[in-house]
Amino acid sequence: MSWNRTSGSAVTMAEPEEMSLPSGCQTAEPSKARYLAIENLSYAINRRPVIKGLSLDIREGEFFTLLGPSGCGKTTLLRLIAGFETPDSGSLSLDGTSFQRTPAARRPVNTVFQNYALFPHLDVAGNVAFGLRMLNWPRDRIAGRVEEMLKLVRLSDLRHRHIGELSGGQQQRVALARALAPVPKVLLLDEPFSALDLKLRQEMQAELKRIQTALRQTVVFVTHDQEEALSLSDRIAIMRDGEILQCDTPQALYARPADRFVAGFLGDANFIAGRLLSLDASGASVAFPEGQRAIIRPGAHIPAPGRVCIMFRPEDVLPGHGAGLDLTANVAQKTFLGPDLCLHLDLQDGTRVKLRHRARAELDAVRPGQRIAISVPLAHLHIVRDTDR
Amino acid sequence: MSGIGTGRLLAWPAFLIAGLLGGIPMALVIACSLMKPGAFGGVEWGLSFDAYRALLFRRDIFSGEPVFSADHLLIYGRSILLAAGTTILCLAIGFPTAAHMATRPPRARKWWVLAITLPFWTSLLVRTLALMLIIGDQGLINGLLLRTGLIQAPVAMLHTNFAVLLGLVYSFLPFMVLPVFAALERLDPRLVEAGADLYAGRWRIAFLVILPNIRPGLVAGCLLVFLPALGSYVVPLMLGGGRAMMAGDLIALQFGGARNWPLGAAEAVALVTLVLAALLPCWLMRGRAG
Repeated sequence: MSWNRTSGSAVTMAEPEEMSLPSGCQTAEPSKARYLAIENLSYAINRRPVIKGLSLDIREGEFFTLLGPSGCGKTTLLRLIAGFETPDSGSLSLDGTSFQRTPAARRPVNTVFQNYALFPHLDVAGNVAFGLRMLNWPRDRIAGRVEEMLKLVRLSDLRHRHIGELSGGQQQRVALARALAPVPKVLLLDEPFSALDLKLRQEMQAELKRIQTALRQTVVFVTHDQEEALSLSDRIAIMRDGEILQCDTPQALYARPADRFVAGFLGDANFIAGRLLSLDASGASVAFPEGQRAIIRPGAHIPAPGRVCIMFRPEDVLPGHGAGLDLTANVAQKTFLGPDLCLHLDLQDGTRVKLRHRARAELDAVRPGQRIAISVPLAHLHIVRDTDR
Repeated sequence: MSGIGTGRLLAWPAFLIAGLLGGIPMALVIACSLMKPGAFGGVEWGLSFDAYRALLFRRDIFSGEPVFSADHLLIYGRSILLAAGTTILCLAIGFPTAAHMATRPPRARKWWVLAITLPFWTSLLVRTLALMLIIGDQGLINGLLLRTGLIQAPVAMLHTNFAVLLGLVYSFLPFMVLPVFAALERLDPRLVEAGADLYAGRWRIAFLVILPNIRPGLVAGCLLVFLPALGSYVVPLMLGGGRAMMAGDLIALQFGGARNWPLGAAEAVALVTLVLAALLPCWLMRGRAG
């Protein structure tokens, strides 16, 4: 379930991807789970590697998000899938058929571009019909499909408008309709909502999710917006420097990050250092600087003995003594966050951690400079891979 | 409000130049075409349509009766054909060139533009002369072919329609490349990707995505090549050698050697009328697109 970064070795399965075996040889379930399969994909621009031996399986009908900071290679990966760039090595396959050498014009995938890239010389209907015309659909079928798509994105009244006369949100809908019209096997979206203001963005997110669910459309979505990714996706791959750090459901990524970067990128996180003493089936035995020892349930990251990085969320820190990791800390700062209070605390070894909790009288009474006790239940401690930020 | 007023005010120099340097000479030419030729050039006062009659008819040497003569039509026809051919060739060569330039990195593009405009650094006369040296009977090409033994006698290239066409394409190519390049440079490359993404092959991308979006640049390029090519004078004179005459040479001849100013003026008026007739469809198409 949890997907580790072991790009290459663990994931490069023995089966050749161009196989044309009768599907009876395999169970139906795995072929669906490997609908769009990316294997060991590498790509460099001017000898600078942008995608580094990346492997990924995308399931049929799922909303899959590539999430990462700008420059992490997520848009490049999307462009490799679309066929605008050709990988240096590795393979891409869709439903068992490899397509990394197929030109973009013959790949059954369609893209919604970041700036929409609508054809300014055509009207709304002309844009939506373009792909169908290129596929040589008969006229009456094109007309029917265009109607259907415009209805889907609620633009039927604007079919004869020119692109320049549309608002940003309307252009977004046209781009979506244009990409969906040729019934793509995979719909690719490259930061489609980044140009919209917050309210419109939320509206369009809901709209996209509605359409994706209704059509059971396989979607690969690129964004740098964590909230957008968390709210829309079935699964998310967190990317950094051309690699996938972790790939899982939004809930699992938030609850069990494998990586220090992932933990910090999705929400707020505290990190403390520990030493791994032993690791077995029951858990990892860890020694903390203040002399405590604890057994931590193994998570997504399998640590090596020695120094390890322990992560816990600010909202999992409890004020006062309690079961689990028990610590004392100096209050450095107190921040009021509406319903919540956030305390910035300095541990004995100088590590800064945050506590976030519902505002209560006892918490409200805490003053900066005061020394308080805090505790973190063991279930909320996670060993994460210690990546530099 | 004041902005509009200022705009009009700023346009006055242009109006003045167009009126003084365009309108007045044109009026003079029209007036000239309606007079009688002077014995030693110039014109004599008096209204006469003889010059226009002479465009299509000549006087029979013996009877003095006017007989139909296709000489003018031939020369005008050749001019239009050569100008159209020049435009088509410039488009065929210029479009890929411009496309190549526009897809280079920005720094390389500067050098390409420089290379395209480099021929303008020398005079048209010198460049045409150089072309004569290359395609002449004792020229570079024939010399090489003769020496390698591929041909026994020089191939006649100079003083043919081919020579004129070559010269015209050579001199007007930059006027096609630059506006088309400017239009391609402004084109969003993602439109091309969107075309490919939506199953359009190379040719369909070129004709259904790129072409419609750079039409103003193409129209500008075609006009900038066709119009000067139609009235060109130096190139057909030197490379055509009087055997492949174009309208421009003919007009020059009437004002020079032939000393028939009214006929030259009438020929000029006819050429302007032809140009206007050729421009009209372009202009109408533009009006519809805008």
